[in-house]
Amino acid sequence: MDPLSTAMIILAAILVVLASGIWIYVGLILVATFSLMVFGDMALDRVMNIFGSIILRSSGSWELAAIPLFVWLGELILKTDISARIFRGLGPLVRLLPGGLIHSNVLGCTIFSAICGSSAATTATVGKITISELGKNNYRRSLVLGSLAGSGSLGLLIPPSIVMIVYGVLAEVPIDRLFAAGVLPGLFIAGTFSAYVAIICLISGDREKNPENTHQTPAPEASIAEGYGWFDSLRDLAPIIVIITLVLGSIYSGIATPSEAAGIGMLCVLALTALTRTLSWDVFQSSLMAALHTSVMIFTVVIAASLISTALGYLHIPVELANFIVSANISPGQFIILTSVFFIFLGMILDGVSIIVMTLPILFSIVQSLGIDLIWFGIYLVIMVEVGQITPPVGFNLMIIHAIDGVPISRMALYALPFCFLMCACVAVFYFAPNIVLYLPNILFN
Amino acid sequence: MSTQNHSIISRIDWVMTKIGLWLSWFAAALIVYMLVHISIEIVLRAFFDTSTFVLEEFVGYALGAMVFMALAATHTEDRLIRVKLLRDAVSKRTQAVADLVANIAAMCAGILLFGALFNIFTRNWRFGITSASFAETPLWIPQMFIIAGLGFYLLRLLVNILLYAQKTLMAENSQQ
Amino acid sequence: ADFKWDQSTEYGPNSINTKTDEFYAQRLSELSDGRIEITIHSGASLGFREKDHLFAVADGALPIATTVSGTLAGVDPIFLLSSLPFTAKDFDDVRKLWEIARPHYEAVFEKYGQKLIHAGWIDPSGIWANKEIAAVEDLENLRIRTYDATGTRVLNALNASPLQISWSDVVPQLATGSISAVLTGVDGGAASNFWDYTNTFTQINYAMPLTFVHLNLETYNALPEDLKDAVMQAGKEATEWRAEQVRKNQAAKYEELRAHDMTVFESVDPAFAAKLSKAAQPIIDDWKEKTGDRANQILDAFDAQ
Ligand code: NA
Ligand code: NA
Repeated sequence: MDPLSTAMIILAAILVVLASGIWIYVGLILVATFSLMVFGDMALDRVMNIFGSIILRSSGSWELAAIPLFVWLGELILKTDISARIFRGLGPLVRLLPGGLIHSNVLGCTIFSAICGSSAATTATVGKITISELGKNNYRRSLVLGSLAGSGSLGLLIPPSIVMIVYGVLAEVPIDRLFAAGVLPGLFIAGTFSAYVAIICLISGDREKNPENTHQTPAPEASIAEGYGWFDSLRDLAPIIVIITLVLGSIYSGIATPSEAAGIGMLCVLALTALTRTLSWDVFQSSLMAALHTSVMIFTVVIAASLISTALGYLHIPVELANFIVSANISPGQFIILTSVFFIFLGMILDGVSIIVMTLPILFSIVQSLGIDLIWFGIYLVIMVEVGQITPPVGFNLMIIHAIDGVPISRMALYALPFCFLMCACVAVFYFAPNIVLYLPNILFN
Repeated sequence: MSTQNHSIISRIDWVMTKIGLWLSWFAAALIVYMLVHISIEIVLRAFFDTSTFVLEEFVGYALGAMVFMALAATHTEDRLIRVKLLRDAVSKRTQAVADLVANIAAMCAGILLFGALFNIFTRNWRFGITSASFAETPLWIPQMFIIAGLGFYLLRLLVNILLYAQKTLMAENSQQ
Repeated sequence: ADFKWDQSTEYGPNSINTKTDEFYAQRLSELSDGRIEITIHSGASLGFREKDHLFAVADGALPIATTVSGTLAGVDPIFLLSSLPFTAKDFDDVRKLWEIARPHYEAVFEKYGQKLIHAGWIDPSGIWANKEIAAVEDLENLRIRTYDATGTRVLNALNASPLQISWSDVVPQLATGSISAVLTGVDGGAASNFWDYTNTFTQINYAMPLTFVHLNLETYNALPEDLKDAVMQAGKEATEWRAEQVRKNQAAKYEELRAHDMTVFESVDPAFAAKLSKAAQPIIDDWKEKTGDRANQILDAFDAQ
């Protein structure tokens, strides 16, 4: 069977098992098994032998250690008064913008991306804090959840970034230049998201017409006292500014590696909450338990998604589809359009890092022969991986937000759709204005 | 109602939930351990020009153990995600059947994972394979936690299956 | 093709390991008249890490894989042989050592149900730093990144401050000055543009670890005789091809480093080299003890040549 049909059948199988109501990770494991047995003609014991090492690898790799620590950090911020302070402090800043506190998603994710290399951890941490606060204010849910999904994926584009490291190592592109190249596109996309949120809010208002929760607790915005000024705002934002500064400082001074930043962040939050006496045993243990459950949920999906990736790898699907692109005789512009379609399709069923490691070896030579800048291509690839984070059925950010908020995944996917389009539009902008990508690495390193 | 509360399955369910909770406390302690190890490593490197040399390795072990030790409790807490769209649209009895089927599917996937990992575990044990690192950790030790966690998860699913089967039957009875 | 094999490797598409694998696949396809076809999954894209390769091939999960010797140290200490510091000092040495030890490697692979097809070495590890490493004093308190436990022990014995950090963290740590040196070959350092952070490369000829390509034994035994021969013949050619590439590449890389304004010292003073070897001796003795008779047989034969 040709690779495209096989991929379509696997995609359909994933949709069916997900809709059937079994746990998502169970469904993915069963589909991976089924794919290898039916299309790969393998016996069950060979499939099991394959899965064993993959499970151990994907559940026990150092790169993922940041996830439980960052998620715990988010829980602590939520359960102490830091998050309430953040929202009170942001009030005067965002009141000027249509959409108000919805922008805290974009802003929060952008800032958090600068200390965290993983999109899952960014979405989970920021989402924990913003969703409940924004929900209390009855902000438009499509924008609250959609902008969170979209900006959460910026964790990959704004340095540090795990995906960039993978690309840099494989393509032998200097990692520091890649990191520098991600900054402006990351800010550009964040700006685009904010502009979109503002425009929609201007056109059709920023609150739900029929709020689901009518018994709302007083929202921080409403509870802001008369005469709350810029100075109070600064005082409320001080804790989070201190934390972020310390984490960034530890990374850029070299005291901690980017992979250890989560540890520094946790220590800072623990110290700060202890100093301000908001840390009690109860807060400590309940935040830890909540972080544990969220992390286990994320890991089950990560493990299952890696089994799907391995199955697709054995079936040579990404390789053969990429070969098709290589064999088509095309211009750079057509190449980018074709690969975008290809990456969006693969992004539906594959996780980010797999997309890069499976297709890069094949696309690499054509990228070079078309004269496409390897740093530019790396940033492009990272953005396409980000799109994959918010497309169903295998979209980590969608699943994480579903787990935090309970919103049905199908509806979540719809909320995220405009942000997919926006990212693709940004890719087009970067294609015609490559300097947005290349300006920083050029001035920093040449 | 009273028969259900006193049924053996419900009592086993209670015990399993308790054990699951203990295991998840252990898993939570592993997160604290990761934080402590990373902190020690940073201090050693920054101030003492040395290192524990096993950070990546041990944190990796802790992650794996954390996931599988807490799997049953996370399942019981209903924190593992599933699409409930269709499930919410049907009657209570059909829901019980759907949950039964879902737990059986999870059991199948769980057995698959268990078989795959148990194979690796026993071989590392038999051949005395260690890590290639400074610590030369016998690999079966960290894997033991994974096997234990996954084994407990399978028991948990078995009890769930019995519970939902019972529920299905009782719903049938009450309809008659 | 009658036989379609998936080969897993952790190395990227541009690495000498993967290029050798491609050469091997190409040659085998030719020698077998297209009856054996290998698909290479580079960059660990199948999801397997090197550490998992031995058992993955043993179980038939993977038919064939590429694995660097040191990652198998936990299976059998013989796999530390090629990374023993200052033992094989040049390309002739490493070839000799490989030929002497080959039967021992083969025996271990066979124990785990697989056939050793071919092996190859990389250019020797040296030190990337901001000064020449010309004497033991230059190593004192040098914050240097090492890649394995052996390197950590040797450099500790030489009063350096060896640190083990993940390869992906090396560049950020070099850039921030948190480490000031890296123990690796010219090729590996060049691939990561180390000339941006260091200005001197000293070739201390630390070690040239072997990379193995191993095939599932049942898969091998099930082949007709002529294909078995083709498998081994292509392997022999791959070893030779790679040896030549590595030799040529080393010279080219020295030039590339100089083109990036680096100072390259292609060798060290014999007295210093002797001190380095002496520091490594306890580690070699330890290894001998752990490995038993085989170790003495191999090293005696090596010294005799
Ligand atoms: Na980031
Ligand atoms: Na997706």
